[in-house]
Amino acid sequence: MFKKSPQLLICISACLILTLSACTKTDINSVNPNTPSAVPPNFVLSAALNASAGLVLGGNEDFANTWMGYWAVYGITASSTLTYNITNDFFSGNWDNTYPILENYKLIQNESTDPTEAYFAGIAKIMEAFHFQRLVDMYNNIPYSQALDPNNSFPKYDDAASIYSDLIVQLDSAIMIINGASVATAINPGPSDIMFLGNMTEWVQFAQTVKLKILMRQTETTNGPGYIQSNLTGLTTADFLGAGQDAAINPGYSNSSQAQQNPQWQDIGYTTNGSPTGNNQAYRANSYSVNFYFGTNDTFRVALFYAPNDSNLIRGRAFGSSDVGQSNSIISGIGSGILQSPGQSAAILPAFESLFLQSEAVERGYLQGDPSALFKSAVTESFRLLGIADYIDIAQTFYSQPSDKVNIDVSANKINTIILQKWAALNGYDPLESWSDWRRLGIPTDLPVSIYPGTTATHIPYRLLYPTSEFHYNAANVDGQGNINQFTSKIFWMP
Amino acid sequence: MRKHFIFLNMLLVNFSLLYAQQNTVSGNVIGQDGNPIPFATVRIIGNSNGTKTDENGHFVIATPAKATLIISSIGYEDKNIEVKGGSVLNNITLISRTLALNGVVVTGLGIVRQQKALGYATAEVKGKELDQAKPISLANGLTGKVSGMEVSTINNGVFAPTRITLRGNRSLTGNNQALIIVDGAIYYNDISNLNPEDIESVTILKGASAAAIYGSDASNGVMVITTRRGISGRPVINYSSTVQLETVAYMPKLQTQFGSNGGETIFYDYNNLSDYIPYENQQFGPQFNGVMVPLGRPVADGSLLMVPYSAVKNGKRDFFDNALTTQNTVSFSSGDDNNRFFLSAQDVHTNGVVPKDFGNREVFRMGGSKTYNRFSASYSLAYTNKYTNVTNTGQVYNDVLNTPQQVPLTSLKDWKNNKFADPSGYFNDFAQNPYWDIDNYRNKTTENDLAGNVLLSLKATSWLSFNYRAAVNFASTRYDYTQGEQLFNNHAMTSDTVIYSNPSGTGLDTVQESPKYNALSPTPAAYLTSTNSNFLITSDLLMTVSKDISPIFHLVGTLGTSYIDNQINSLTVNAGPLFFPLYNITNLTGIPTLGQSNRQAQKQGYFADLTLGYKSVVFVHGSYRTDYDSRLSKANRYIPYYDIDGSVVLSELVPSIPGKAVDYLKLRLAHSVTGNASALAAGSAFIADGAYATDPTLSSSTGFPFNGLGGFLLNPIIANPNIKPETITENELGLEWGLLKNRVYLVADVYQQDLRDGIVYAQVARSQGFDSRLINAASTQSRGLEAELKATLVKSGDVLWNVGVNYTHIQSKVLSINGGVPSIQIGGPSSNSYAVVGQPYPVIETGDWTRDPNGQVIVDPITGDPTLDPNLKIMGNANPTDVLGMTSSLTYKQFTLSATAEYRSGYKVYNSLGSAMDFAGISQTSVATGRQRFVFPNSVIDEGNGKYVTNTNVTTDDADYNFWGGSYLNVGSNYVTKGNVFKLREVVLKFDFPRKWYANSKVFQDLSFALSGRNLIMIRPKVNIWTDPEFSEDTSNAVGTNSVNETPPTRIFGATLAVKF
Repeated sequence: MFKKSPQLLICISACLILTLSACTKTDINSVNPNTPSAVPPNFVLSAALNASAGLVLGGNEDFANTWMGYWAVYGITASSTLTYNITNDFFSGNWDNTYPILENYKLIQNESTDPTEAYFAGIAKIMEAFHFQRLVDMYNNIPYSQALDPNNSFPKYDDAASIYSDLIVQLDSAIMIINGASVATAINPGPSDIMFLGNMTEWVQFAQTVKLKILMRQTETTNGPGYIQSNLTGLTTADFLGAGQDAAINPGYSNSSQAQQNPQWQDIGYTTNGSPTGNNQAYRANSYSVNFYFGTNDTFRVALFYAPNDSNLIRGRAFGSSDVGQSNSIISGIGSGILQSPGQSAAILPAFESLFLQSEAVERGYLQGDPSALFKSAVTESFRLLGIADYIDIAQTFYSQPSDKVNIDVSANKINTIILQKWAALNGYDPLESWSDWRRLGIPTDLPVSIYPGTTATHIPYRLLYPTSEFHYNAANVDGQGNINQFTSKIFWMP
Repeated sequence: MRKHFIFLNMLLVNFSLLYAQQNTVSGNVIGQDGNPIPFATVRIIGNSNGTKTDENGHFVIATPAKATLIISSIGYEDKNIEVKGGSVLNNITLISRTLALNGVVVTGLGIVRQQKALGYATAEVKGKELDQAKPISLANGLTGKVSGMEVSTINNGVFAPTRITLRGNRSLTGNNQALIIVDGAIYYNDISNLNPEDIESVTILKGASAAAIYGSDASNGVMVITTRRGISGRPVINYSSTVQLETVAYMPKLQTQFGSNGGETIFYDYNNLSDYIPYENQQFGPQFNGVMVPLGRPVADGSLLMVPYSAVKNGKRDFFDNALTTQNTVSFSSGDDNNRFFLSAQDVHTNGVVPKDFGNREVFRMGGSKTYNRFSASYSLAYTNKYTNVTNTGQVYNDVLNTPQQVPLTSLKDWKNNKFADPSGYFNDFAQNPYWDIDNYRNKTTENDLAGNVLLSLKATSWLSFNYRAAVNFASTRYDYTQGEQLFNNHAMTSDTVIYSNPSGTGLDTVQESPKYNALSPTPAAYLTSTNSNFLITSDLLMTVSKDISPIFHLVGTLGTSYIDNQINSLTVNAGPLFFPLYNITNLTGIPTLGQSNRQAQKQGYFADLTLGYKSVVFVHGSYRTDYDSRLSKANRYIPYYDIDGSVVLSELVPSIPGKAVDYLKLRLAHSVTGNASALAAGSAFIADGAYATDPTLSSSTGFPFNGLGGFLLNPIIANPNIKPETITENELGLEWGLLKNRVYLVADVYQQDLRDGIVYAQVARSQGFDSRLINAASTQSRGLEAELKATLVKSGDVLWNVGVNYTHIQSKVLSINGGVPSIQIGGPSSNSYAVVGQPYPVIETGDWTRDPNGQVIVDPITGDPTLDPNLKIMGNANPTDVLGMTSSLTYKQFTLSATAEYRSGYKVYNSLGSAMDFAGISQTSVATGRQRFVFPNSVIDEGNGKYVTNTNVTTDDADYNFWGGSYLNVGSNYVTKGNVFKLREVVLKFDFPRKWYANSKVFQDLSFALSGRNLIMIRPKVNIWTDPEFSEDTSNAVGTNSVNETPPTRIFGATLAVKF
């Protein structure tokens, strides 16, 4: 039979082969069983907020803590922190890690188009503005309108001032989204909101505070009081975060694993078994601030910002000192007010910072209110946050001293007193804010430059340099920003 | 003339028959060339009778009524012939063992092709050749024997991993290792799971053309492994037993002049060397003087260990074991014309040179075939159980190097009972007792690997046949890591007492030093366990037509489909710290890190293969394949891969060519386009590892879940569902030339491979919101020359001497990576391997001293110290460009001496081991100037005006702890050397016991004894004072860097007794 019809046989065989294979074909790789391709927005929100806390408090701002006179550096190892001879890689995590986090906030907004998901969309928008402001304050012009697009490999740089004005628009829009949501049907983020636990009023207050922070940054620009005031129209001090309302993130930090520790504790604190981290040993008290606190009889706070040395004294080192005799048993480390516990909340915008901002805004006439009361409340909040039990009385004693460094009521230059005490309170909390105040107003006026041998700088840097990743992978656009110099290139809002 | 001669022979034979006894067999023996083979041995199996052929290849032998003759001659394969009494066997043809010119080759998918029809390069290594020195892994038996093939054994560990590449590297991030085929089925598992004695032969299909039938997996060439299936004839039992001893042969160059100090007391102690520190790991102390000094601190009972202050001879070498390996193999084989059967079992017990490292391997294999008219079936079934139990090599070796030279380390072995050896009393404040490490850090891996393979064939007509093959490979692996708890007594944790030898030599000074430099705290036991199961099913269906379509044209065509399904499931529990050393996940103290991965991928290939032959001298061959790959998008699933090649046997086509200088001459040409998608699997061969690589996903974020709260973040890689396989175009030209009566045989090939659409994880601007993008962007080119010369130098009487020389030259170049991106790192973040545009692939990049434009090192005009250039520099190509292999086999009577040697050159290695040694101050380099300040060699001083003047008098700040243990070791270029190496890979002296010694017993058929040595000699350039340049951190593409993770190079001596029943 075979011999008679070979052609038929070949046909049958070919068909058989093809059929045999066809039945095995299924799209087995269409669903990934290991990692999800989409999750409900609450799961992204909790992780993104946690990442925000890690970004802000996990070490990326350590350089600002040293430059702003809070911390000094142990040892004599030459480092760009001490010399200000920073490179493109200097603390580039501030750039390289922020955008991927922003991509997640963008994802939340993209996935939360249903009206019931309005709160998620609003929160993500607020956090976006919060992070973009940080980026502008460090780098001035940045990719903004074209950033975060997987299909655009070369996002252009936007003008910093225009980003700032758009952030106000975005914050207003976020507030509208939240306020416009139906309380009855909108899903409350609840425990996935690891900052305000679903308290949407506080989210709106936080949004207004970020807005205030963005506006107050521009006091010295040509935008001027008119622009700031017009954007604050209709707002009262009650619309911002007030006493007791720290914007603080806490997913449930604990000492049960390294990854579950508070990010600041993880950076400058102790490992789970209690041994000090490298940065705990590296960052020590700066004599400039130690002297400042002692000079204002601030004995409670100085002992919480800094840890007593082996002789039970608070001692600082001049920033950039190469004196090898100043070992860590002589120079104080970071204190128990900053390092309270591995489970402590991560305050990305403490209540006192909001109150200082309000105090300045009122003092400048942009808002209605009592600048002195706001100032005193701000100082009191700083004492509270450091963990002083009897903080109200102790703060009162402190700010009632006759010195114009602490007492706004006796001060002839109230702005100076506000910013100086704001600086004193921001130690270890938000040094980027005090760096911005210094760049905006030059306060503290006597902020020392590094005494590291060979340092010729006359002032601390004005900005960070664009990171290497941009020069490698977005070269044309970053090159378009021209030559950037950390000592001369200013952020747009600097005078 | 010849015909007449044979005719005459036949007459003579017939004539003699008339007078022969009834049970007499006669005949003549010839080679493939038709010439008679004189003096061939003719024996009767199971009988001591034997004879030899005469000068004309004739023999006559008296036999029982039924017998099996075995005809053997040196240089030829043995031939068994069943005879009944009184037959005449004309022209018994023996196949030449040296030159397989007219043989057949098993190519891809088990397709058998005539050697002379092949248009591409192949090579064959017989089981006997690769097994001669009894390597545990057959990969080791291939080293140095085939041009174009690089087999690197990357460390000395138990069942040491190997990296096998053919024609170098092509893919930047994909797998570049050869595809392994066992009995026609794809085999992704570890090649060391096979028993080398089960191997009949290994055919190497060097280029992509030869492999094109595998389509999107084809670019790396193929190793076609054929296992034994039994032989026709009387049943045979083979037993062999091997004992091998592995010893450390090459220690890195160590200093023996200075003892302990790590710069604790005085940092800048230039000329007066620091005091001796008894508890120190680093060896930057005073010169040895032989006086008794304390070692360590006083222990709990107040006693103090005193040692002579002088280097212990071979102290570090003696730490390593002389490791014993035993291999016992038994196999049974039988068969007749229609049935074959083979059964084997092997037990390997191997020890490592690191004390207590060991492994076992049991391999069972069954194989056979059955033919029934048109149907035939063959099968094989193999089961491997492999167990390894090893410590953390890097930790142990590093702790050995951080043991100062005056320490009698081997006397501190008993850490459980010796108060000076236990963690509390051990002298070293900064490094652990390596013997403690060995007992407390254990990595235990159990592999169970079951592979089954069935082939059904139907010869439908004389010209049409069908083959169906199904194979399964199920491998499960269990890995356990256990780490013992480290406890200290109170004294060790609290006492600050140190006793120093008085610098004036007058006695001992007791000092309270507070705080201790390194406070001791107990560490709890820890545990990690993971299980992995890997299931692979492959099946092929082939229809083959073989037909003479006219008197002069012959056609062979194959149409087929092949299917592969791979599933990998793994589960990992990293329990971390335990309450007490009970290694069970229920005993963990905290939150475990869990991991689970379930992966599956399928491929379905459709292919056609066609050979057209003209008069059996000109051949044109083509193959075509397209693959459905479940991992790829619909648009990219059916990409065509093909090969077209041809060959011309000039010596037969042109009758005038054959002559004295040419017996055989063949030219061939091949062109192919093949693919590689293994980059999706990050270089893993298993297709399932590449599943889901193109999907955008979110992952549980670090730290989550927090007490029931979940959190997921986007994967930072921009997913690319449109990724397609890399394509490789290869053009190849080859020549095969046999001369001097085919006693000399030369094969040469040149080729060029061009890779396009190379898959890379390209970094992107972070402002895009991601850190990288999976993209088809890279391109590379490689060119090579391969040559193999085989010659029979002597063939007379009792002597046969065959030699082989093979040479490989490879040049590779990265043409582009992704747009303007100049380089990417290969391997992990600490890897020193890079792909750099315009450079060979891969290159080593590491730090270097700051240099002037002439390449001289710039030193500080005041301190005399050089500084580290912040930019990484390219140190050179990391793969050998030129490899020369040599084999020799000399037989004299009962003795056979075989040897394999190899020389590799044209590349660099980064001995980061040297950095660990300089840190410890144990290196020979660190005493180059007797620890005295020196003018840095070839240094210049920057005058600041663009001019550099030679430094003649400014000496370095220090030549002790601060220099060697501080700045020097951070400069990687100090440890980059030429990788050139000559190795005597194998030497085997085999003695076949003369049959007459045991013929009377009627039990043995063969009895042989062999002495073997592996890696007996290694010759390196003087600058390489560290280790074997073949060593590497892993088998990935990131070759060329070694470290403390690889123990010193070894030699292996062995003895084998083999018996055939």
